Amino acid sequence: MTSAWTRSPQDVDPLSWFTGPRMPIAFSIAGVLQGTAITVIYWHSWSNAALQLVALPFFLVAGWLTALSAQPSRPRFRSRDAATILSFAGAGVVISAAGTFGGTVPVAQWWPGIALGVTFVSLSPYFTPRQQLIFAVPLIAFTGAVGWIVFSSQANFWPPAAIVIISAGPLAIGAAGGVVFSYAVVARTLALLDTAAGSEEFYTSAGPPDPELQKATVARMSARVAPFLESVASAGVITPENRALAAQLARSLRTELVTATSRSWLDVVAHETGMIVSDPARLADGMNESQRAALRGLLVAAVDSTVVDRRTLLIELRARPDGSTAVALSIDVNLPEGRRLVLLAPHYLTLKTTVDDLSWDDGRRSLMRFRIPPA
Amino acid sequence: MLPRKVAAAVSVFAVVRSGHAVAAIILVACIPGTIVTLAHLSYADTVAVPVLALVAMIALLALAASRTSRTTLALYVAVGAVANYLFVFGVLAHHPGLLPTALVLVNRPETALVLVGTAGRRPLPAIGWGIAGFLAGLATTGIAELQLGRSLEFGNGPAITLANYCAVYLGLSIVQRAQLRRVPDFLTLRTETRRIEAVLSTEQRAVALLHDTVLNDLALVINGPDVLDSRMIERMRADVATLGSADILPPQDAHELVAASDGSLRNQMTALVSDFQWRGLNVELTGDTGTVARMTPKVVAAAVGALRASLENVLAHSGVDSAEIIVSATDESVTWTVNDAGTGFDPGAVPADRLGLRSSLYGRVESAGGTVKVWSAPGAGTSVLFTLPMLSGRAPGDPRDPEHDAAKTGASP
Repeated sequence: MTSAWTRSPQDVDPLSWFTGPRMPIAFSIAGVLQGTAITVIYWHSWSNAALQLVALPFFLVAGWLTALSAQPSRPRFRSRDAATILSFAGAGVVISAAGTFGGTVPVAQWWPGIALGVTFVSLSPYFTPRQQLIFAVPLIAFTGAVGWIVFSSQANFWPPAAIVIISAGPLAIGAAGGVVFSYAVVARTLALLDTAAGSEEFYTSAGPPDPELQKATVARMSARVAPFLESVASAGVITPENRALAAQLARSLRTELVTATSRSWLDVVAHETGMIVSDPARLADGMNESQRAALRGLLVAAVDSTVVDRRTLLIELRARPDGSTAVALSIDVNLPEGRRLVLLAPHYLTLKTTVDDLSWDDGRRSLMRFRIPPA
Repeated sequence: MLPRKVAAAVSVFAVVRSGHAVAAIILVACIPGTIVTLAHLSYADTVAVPVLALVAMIALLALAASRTSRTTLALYVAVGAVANYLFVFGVLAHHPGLLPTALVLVNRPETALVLVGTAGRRPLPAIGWGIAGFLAGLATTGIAELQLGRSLEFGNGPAITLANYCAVYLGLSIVQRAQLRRVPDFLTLRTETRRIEAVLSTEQRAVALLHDTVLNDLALVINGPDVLDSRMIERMRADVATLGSADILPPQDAHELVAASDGSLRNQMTALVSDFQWRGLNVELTGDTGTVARMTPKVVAAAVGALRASLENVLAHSGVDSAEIIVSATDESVTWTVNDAGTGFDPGAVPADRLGLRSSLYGRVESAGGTVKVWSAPGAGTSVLFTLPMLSGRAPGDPRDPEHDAAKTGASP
């Protein structure tokens, strides 16, 4: 089985699916609205219409659980999460069936199949195609069986096989759509990433160094020294005053050169953002370009927002015995959890693709920890 | 990570494929559904035309999915609508009692016609295609029903499917627009990161340049004679002029080859050795001095700069007046060893704020892809060894044909 079957869209491109927190809820609301409409239209045809109303919230809960499980700050979406979510939706199917059995609602209008299909589709960005297939087959059989039990007792136009197909059809359609969607995203993304590996197809170079910048840098650093040397060379003699001034200039220039030499890229970012950097061993220089870009994106976004106190930004880098670097980043964000998530999640997910073991303790003071593997 | 616009196109592609899969499931499931239902109603002998119409739609869908283009999508909508007409006509012509109960079966091809998708990378055009498919299906179903003298009955399936289909593509469009605003553009971030690194790199090279020029000149002013000789004045003026010249720092383009017959390394080394001899340091050059190597200008500049820094250290700190440079070359690299028998030092005890080794030697050589090793101990002299890469092996004809290809590694002092 290729990796396109065993990885989810969220695995291969987490950024595209971080907006998902609202997407599964929107899907479940859409499914429940359709169920509500059918319940009302056929109000007198159910054996117990109230049970339909009881069943509807189960699908809302399933959508909410999906959104919760797919949050970027939570661990990777697992089969256990899917089992819990689909169990809630399955319970909704059973409750609705109990209120349908003995009634006269047409099998084609039995809404739980649609709501279950929608629930299943909303899992597809976070669930591997293989996992979807494993869950879909028994679930389709279960829904078909429940549909057959409920509707075969009716004086019915449809043969039993058609009842099973119609009952489980929406779920089968949702499952097929979900599996194909996930597989297409993963296979196409992996193919594109393979194509891009080792090439600069997607990313343009910053170009050669700017000669003007070079001249300006040297001119700035030598602004006081150059005229002095020029005057000494013109005079051809060295006075005691020259020697004193030369010593002073040499000290000053040395200090400036040492500062420039000691500056890491993170110090530049610190200057840009006002954050506090604790990196006594200059471990930031061990980060590769992608890691630097992702971390800088997170820091700049935090500083650019009006709700982050830039004085509270703190990043600490420490060497670990295995040669890797442990990084802890704390950001004080004065926002409720949902808005804090919206602000930081895209950058968190970008960073997640470049470092190992990224975790996010999302209290009021967001603390992120990650590890930079040895070069 | 994929750039956002590429990732957005992948999402659209996947949703289109998903829609095609759903349409295929609907059409395929409709075949046994039609056969079973008609057989159940004792009309088994009339299934041929409807089933053939479904097979034709599946073939058109397969074509549209495998070779997605405006043409194949238009073909699916147009010819699929004709197939839908044949299906509806074929089913209803012989058994008028099917409606309204079996609408869920009769309108399946019409439902599948809604799920057209798009051939482009943007989601919104898919809505236009979906509406076109819906209207084509609606029209052909209506024509078939009117031809059979029936009242118009379409069922809710196609309309609900169209609503959901439009909602999905509209939602996708909204999500992608929101992402473009909120998701960091990794391309821009990487470019900005490179800009920062370019600034840092420029600063590091400026530090090396200033260390090798004006700091030495300041040391001369502090410790030199009261009257400068012409060579000292010339050097001081040359250093100041270097700071303001256009080619102030070594070239960075690693892909730029040294021109054929370029003896820049040889010439620069000759000038360097001569300069230090004038300043009181006897330099002996030995080893593979006739090797012809292909090096980039950046590597040549790094080699000359590192040699200058090593000899400056000998002159300033060793307490002796002679040094030896040994050149050795392999097919991939050239190594220079600078030896002196001076006072030596403890490399582990060099303060972090000493610039000479860090910027002028390590920084310079490592930035050009080379390596540096320093051996020294108090009273035991110093050996500095640095290796820099060649672009390819020694040039053909080496060493007999020094004009053949590139820079010579050494020169006679």
